[in-house]
Amino acid sequence: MARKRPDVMKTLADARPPEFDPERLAGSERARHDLITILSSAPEAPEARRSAGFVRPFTWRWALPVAATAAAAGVLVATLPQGGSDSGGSRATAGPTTDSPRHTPENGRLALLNVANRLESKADEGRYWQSTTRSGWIGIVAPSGSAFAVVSSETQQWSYGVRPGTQSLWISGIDATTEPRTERDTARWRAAGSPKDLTLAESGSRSGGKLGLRMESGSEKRPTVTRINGGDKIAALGARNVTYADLRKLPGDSGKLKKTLADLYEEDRGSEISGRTEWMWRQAAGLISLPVKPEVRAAAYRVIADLPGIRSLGEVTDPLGRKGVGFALPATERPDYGTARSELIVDPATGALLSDQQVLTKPNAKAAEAGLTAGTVVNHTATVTSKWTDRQLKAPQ
Amino acid sequence: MTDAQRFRDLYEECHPRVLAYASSLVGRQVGEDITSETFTVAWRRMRDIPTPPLPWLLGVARNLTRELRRHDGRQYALAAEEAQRIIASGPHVGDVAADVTEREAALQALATLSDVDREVLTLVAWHGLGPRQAARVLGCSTATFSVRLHRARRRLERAIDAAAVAVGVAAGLSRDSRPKVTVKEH
Repeated sequence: MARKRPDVMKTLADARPPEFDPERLAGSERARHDLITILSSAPEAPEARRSAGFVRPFTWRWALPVAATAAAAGVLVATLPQGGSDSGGSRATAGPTTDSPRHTPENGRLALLNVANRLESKADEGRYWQSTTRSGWIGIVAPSGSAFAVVSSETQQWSYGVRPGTQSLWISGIDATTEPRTERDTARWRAAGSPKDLTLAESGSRSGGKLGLRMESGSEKRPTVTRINGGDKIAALGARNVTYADLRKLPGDSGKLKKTLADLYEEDRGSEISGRTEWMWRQAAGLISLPVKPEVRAAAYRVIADLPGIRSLGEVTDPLGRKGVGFALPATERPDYGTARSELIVDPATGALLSDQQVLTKPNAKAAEAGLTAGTVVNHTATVTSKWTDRQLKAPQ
Repeated sequence: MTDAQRFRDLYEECHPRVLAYASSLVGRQVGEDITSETFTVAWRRMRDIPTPPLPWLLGVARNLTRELRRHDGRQYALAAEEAQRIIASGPHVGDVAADVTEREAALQALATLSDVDREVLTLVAWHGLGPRQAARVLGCSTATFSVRLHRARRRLERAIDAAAVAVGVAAGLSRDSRPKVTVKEH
């Protein structure tokens, strides 16, 4: 190189991503809101606060569905129904070849609009909006021998208290298991000495990937109960925490909802979800799981239907074996796996969201070595039930 | 000045820097939560905060991040991955091409270093701390920090050379060709 070497610390300083520039981070809505919240909590009563059961003054946004699907599209499940007709690369084409002509237009937009039109309009309200999800994800472990895949899955329960004074709870880690994905993975795990603690393979861009995982089979670990409301704020929309009243105020008109989300996107720029389309998809999909009015849920589907590049997958089976219609965004790079795409599977009869998942479209070398193929669901959250009720969840003992 | 006034000043001065630091560890969204929690701790312990306050605050944020890692390794890993994704997405368009290449090489090189090296380098280069302040964040002596920084810097230089060669500085690098290159650690 003919050029003189510039000072390496200067070069590094210049390379700082703008997302980490304090000047760009100053004066956000959230910062102002936090300041007020902190100052309104009495500093002289730390003991009182501690005994209140580790209540955090803030909602941990990643603990909420909007964020859970956003940041953590990864907490989702993992295996394709094994040995079924859905295995491997055939999955994406399973829809068109099934014998029941449930008539789903190939055009994703029209198909989603159909779903939106069929949404049940009855809204039985109660004190709590509760849902149960089953989620899982695949991790790739690369010991000195051959790479293998493990599947972590668990059940979670969400309960949003919508009346004054009610709490919102999130119970995670129910029946949590982490185990080799297939028999071949089991064999490789044994060959590696059957380690209880695993270190996930490093991905191309994430060199700090020293994530540890512990092999476990249901019931070994107790579920975690987390209170997720901060005062009357029960959910996250974009960069804001919002109340039930805020959620009820959302517009049922898809044009207006789109505008609302677009404004939130502008405010949340620089958040970790890259790209407007993916962001809108995550927010709209997240809304569907929250206690919003049925019209808003329908509008959210319409917003998704209008996203660029959306396509229909026809009839597909979700990770719990339920039939539904699938929709997908174009595939993007996922450093851990190769390329993958976001999919939603919806019950076309009721408009209920069955599964929110990430499906591999092209495995990278490590993923391929660990036996993952195009069509492998690398993570998913399947909604088992969601309903209004007057009874709060019981925390497991 | 009342505690509340002092806290407001502290908040205004340091909040963006704590958020920038936390975002670099765990992405913006979780970073916001870590930052909230950091200032909640600061408010509770207003009278224990040393001058300058920033190293202390970053130290709290760092501990909270480690706590998250212990408490929920999966969430942590996803969040840390988001931070890495931001870093890997490289310099933004609109920059001068030659600079972009250099910076991209620097980021790629950084990604090949150990966690310890990266932490030391970014505290100085990205978060603007001097050795003394950075040492406080990490809870080590200034001398120890200086030695670590010196070594990390040497390793970064070597990695940049390797990355620059691998990327092909003259090859008209486009944004799409980002980090597929892996440089062996040395």
